[in-house]
Parts: sequence; C-alpha cells; structure tokens
Amino acid sequence: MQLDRTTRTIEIECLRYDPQTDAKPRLETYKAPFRDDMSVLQGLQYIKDNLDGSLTFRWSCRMAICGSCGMMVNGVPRLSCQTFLREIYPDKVRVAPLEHFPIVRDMVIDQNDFLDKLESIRPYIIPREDKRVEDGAYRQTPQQMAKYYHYSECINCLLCYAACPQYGITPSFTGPAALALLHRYNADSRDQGWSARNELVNSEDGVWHCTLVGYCSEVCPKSVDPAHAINQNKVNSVMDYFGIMKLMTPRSAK
Amino acid sequence: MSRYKPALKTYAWRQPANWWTLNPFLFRYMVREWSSLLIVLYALTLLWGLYDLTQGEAAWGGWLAAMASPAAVLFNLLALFVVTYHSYTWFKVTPKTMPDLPIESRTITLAGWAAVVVVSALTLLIVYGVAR
Repeated sequence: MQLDRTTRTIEIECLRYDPQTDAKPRLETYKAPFRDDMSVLQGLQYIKDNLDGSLTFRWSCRMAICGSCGMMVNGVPRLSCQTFLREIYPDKVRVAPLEHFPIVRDMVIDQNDFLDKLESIRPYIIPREDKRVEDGAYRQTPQQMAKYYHYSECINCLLCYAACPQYGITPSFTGPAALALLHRYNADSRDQGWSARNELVNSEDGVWHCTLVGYCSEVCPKSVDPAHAINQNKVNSVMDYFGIMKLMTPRSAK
Repeated sequence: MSRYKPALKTYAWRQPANWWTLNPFLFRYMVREWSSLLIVLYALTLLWGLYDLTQGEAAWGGWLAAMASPAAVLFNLLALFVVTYHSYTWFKVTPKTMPDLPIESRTITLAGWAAVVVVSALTLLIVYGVAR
C-alpha cells in the first residue's frame, strides 16, 4: 500500500469522566492532525501533548504485545495502537473505555474483577508429579506444546470481556480470557489438567454462562480463540458429569 | 473475596437493554438465537400434522387444507429462510465446539454446509418421488 504522507485533520471524540467533578461521563471532541502511519493511540497522544493534558488513557508498548491500550473504537473493542486513523478517516473516531468494566477515569477501567478471576483459575502449572531440582526439567515434545501454545498467547488486554454480552449481563461469569487461560494450563502435558480446575469449570460461573456468541474470538488481537477453549470445556464438563473424565485422567494425577 | 480492593471512586458502566442493536456481529447473533423460536413453531406445526394423520382422513385433509392457506405458505417460506440462516450460522460456529483437530476449521464449516445441501436435496427427491 502506498502511504499518504500528507497531513490531514481528523475528529476524535473521547468519552471523558473525571471522578472528582463528573457525576457521569460526557463526550468531548478534538481535532487532531494525522498522517497515514498514525494509530488511534498516537492520535490520543497528540491530544494529550498539545490540546488537553488531562486526557487519561493506558498504554505502554505501542506494538500490540502489552495489552494496555484496549478501548472501544467506534463501538468495537480494539487495541488503540493496532487501529490506524486512516482506517476510520474521513469518519469521526469515537473512543470510549472498554465496556462492561467500571470507569476509573476517561479511558481507564477498573480491572480488579478480571484479576480476581485470573487468580481463581490457578494460572500456573500444577505438576502431575513433584520433581526435585536434581531430577532435571519437565520435558515436553513439540506436539505436546502445540496443544496449548496459542492459548498461552493471551496478553490480558480484556477486549474479549468488552466483547462478551454474557459478561455484561452476568458479571460473575468467569469470562473468555480467564477460561482460555484455564484451558491453556489444563491442556499442558506437565499439568495435572482437568482434576485441578474442574470445580470452577463446572460451577455456575464457569463455562455454562457462555452461549457461543463467538465475538470474543473475533476481537482477540492474538488469535487466542477463547470461544473454542470454553466450548471444548463444555464437552469436558458434560463428560465429567457422567464420570468419564475420571477414566481419562492418567493414574499419576489422581 | 477480592484481594484487590477498589481504591478509587468509579463510574459503574451499565449494559444498555438494546446492546444487541449496537453492533452488527451481536445483532446477527441475536437473530441466530431467535431463529430457533420460529424453528420450534415450525416443528410444532409438523407434529400437529402428524397427529392429524393418526386421527383419520378428515383430520388429515383438514391439516392439508390449512397448510394451503396463504398465511401458512408465507409461514413456511419464512421458516425456510430462517432454517437456512440457522444452518449457515450453526456450521459457522461448529468448529468452536469441537476438540482441537488437525483439520482447518474452515473445512469443518464447509463440510457442514455441504451436508445441508446434500441432505436437503435427497429429502426433496424422496418427497418428490413419494408425491408422484
């Protein structure tokens, strides 16, 4: 693609909320110059540097790996560093904090609910058998690694939570990213697997709140495919109910 | 209990009742869910016909006559459209409900759509053969 190097002006409408002065959020529109190589995040940085220093938003890496800059861009959960202003021009850019979360200030949301859920899935390897350091490393074949690798690429950006209407309706739902990470550990050959996390999967707030909307996988910037992870565990949950999972668990993990 | 205590005053975001109208993807999802209601109605209509068939010729004839009314034809056309949409969306999400397979998810979707076409064609042929 040929980059247009001329500078044009785009309108950026931001949702603003200052907990000290505002009872509820309001909208504010800024005019920012942009070139073809500028992301929505860079547009916001221009506003903060030149027009309104009070505009608040999270960001860090600018290259879609830290997961900090997620926000609603024209109603769709996106990483603002990965969304280019040229994609939206000549329309107006509307940015708002990720939906379904409490707003701390402007584009900054309160992530505590997710952090609780992340902790609840025990996001670490629970070994099948305890090894002493002298016994060497836990070994894994490339095939065994392929079973969980893409689920491990989650960057906790929370776009999937903003995309999930079920999380909006029932905030106690464990949700896409946490359940995808749950599957990441269950699918790891070094982990005990199902028996370590089955209570949460089977529970009211586990996989059964998911109605296969599939929007989480659609918006995921890392192709983690949370919808696939969750729905595989619906099958596991049914098999567990009929006592089949126990038969499939290796002896050492019981 | 949360280890993470909210230290700040926050604005509680509320999901609007019309959330499914605000995003085309979510709108298509809701239409997919609603289409099952019409499919239930259609299945009930068929069951009603089956019941009438057991009640003798007069009852069966009555059901056939009822099905020939313009409203029933319209309902059938609507049901056909909705079932087609439902099969389209259903096989689109099918790969997400399956275990990790060494085949592309697109292949599963295409196989499902192909099965719909083949089964529908076979059914049509059989019904046409019986009706003749």
